[in-house]
Amino acid sequence: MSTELFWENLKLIKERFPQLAQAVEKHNIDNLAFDIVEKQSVSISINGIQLSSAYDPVEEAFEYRTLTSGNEYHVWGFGIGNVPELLLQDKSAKKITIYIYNLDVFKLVLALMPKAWLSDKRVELVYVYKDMPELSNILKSLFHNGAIVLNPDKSLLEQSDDQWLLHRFENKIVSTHVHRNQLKRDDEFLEREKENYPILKKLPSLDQVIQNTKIKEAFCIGAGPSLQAHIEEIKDLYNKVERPFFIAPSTALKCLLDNDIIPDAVVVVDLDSSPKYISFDDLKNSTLLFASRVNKNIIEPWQGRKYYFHLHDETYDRFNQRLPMKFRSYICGSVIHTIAHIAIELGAKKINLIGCDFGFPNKIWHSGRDGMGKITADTVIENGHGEQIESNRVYRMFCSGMENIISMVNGVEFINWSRMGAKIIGAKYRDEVEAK
Amino acid sequence: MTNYSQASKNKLDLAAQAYYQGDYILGGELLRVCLESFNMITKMNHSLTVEQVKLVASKATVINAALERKDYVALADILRYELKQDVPYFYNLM
Repeated sequence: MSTELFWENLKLIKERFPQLAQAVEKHNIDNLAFDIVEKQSVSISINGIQLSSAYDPVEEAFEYRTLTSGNEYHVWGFGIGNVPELLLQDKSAKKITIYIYNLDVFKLVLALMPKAWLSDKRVELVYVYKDMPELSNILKSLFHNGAIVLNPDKSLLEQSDDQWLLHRFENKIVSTHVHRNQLKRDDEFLEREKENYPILKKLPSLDQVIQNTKIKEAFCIGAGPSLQAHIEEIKDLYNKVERPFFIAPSTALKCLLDNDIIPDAVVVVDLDSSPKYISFDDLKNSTLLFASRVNKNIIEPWQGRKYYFHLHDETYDRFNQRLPMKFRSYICGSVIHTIAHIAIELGAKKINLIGCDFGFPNKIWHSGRDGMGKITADTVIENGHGEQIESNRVYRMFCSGMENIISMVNGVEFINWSRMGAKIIGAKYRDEVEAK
Repeated sequence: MTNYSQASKNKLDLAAQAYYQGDYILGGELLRVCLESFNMITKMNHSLTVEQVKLVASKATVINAALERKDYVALADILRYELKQDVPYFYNLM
């Protein structure tokens, strides 16, 4: 479909974004099923998905804007262009990056509507495709304060076979949902802070460890099913005199201790973590690194060294005022993020991810434990072989959290040991690295 | 710039807001509460005419169809604008 409007719009894009212009020009939408929707305003619908409000597209754009803060925006999708158009009205808006991943939507709208604002220098268009360079960095913007994921382009993606990006959009939505639920627990948080304060004020914080410890390489050992698959190799490595720093969550302890592997550090962050799986007597030589609201039934019986820290989310600000510290751990729902963040802070230049599966290959939830516990498999995630494995929406969100960490640090190599678990964008596979 | 969310407390409108913003989880939670209330009102309120009940039922069908095809913007339009216009009695109860 080549209308006069299309060529006018394309000319604007060609000047600054020739790669995208070329892709749009080549893309064929001759067979695209679309309708014009006329209510109090006018919109377009593609394959039964409406691209904008047919009543008040400006109000709709305002709704998206209320999700953001700051003066830099990252708009995923194009819709009919009403959202970036509104954002450009804001004189304080410095930059509006629009991520184009659905060429059907983009080309159709360029063919039907004038988009003179595309020439505004504050607008940056990025063409997103699966194997593009810098994908890791681009995906990070999904979690930026100025991120907006437009509905229609996303819903249309759902109709395609290529779900990798859709999963990352959903991860962002689930992350908002999880965070919202966390905010409802403030009474519990306050209670736990009261309980833990007298214990913590006598203990050193993780700042002290970060100041005095330097490591080169870390093994971040999650409790996913691939841990069991690699346990013999990990055991061999563990018994070497010079070996990387082993750091694991309490959920991986059963599998590790059953194989006589005592991690150098055990990390616990969850308010609801139970001491049930912690064999305190076996862990005398291990260090406990724990979030300040962890159950005291884990902190008090720990016989080795122990250091507390606060998490980065704002619900820890109050406790950080009482017990101030420099380090605040990044978290996106899972302890494995904290573990990776601590390894980075300790100076690791190579971080091996083991048992970080973010899914349930072979219907196993945790290494060393039977069944799936209370977790239900309600979605899928792509593994390292390009296959879809069962997962849980929240577990899949954890994968985005790990991808964010990887994209945020320079000079650190992340190695994913297993292809049976989720593909983590930005991490290399061990077999690829060894093949070089 | 104004913030619509501060101006309204109607549950249907809040659901519409969530769907406009792409948060189908929150939108779904709010909409479920509204649909349960719809259901209860039609069963309990004997003064409703058959036409009114039919109109509500037809709206529920349209809502379900939009939900099924994940047409969240159209769904938000229905919740924010069309219900208010077509079934104001129910809209005002939410």
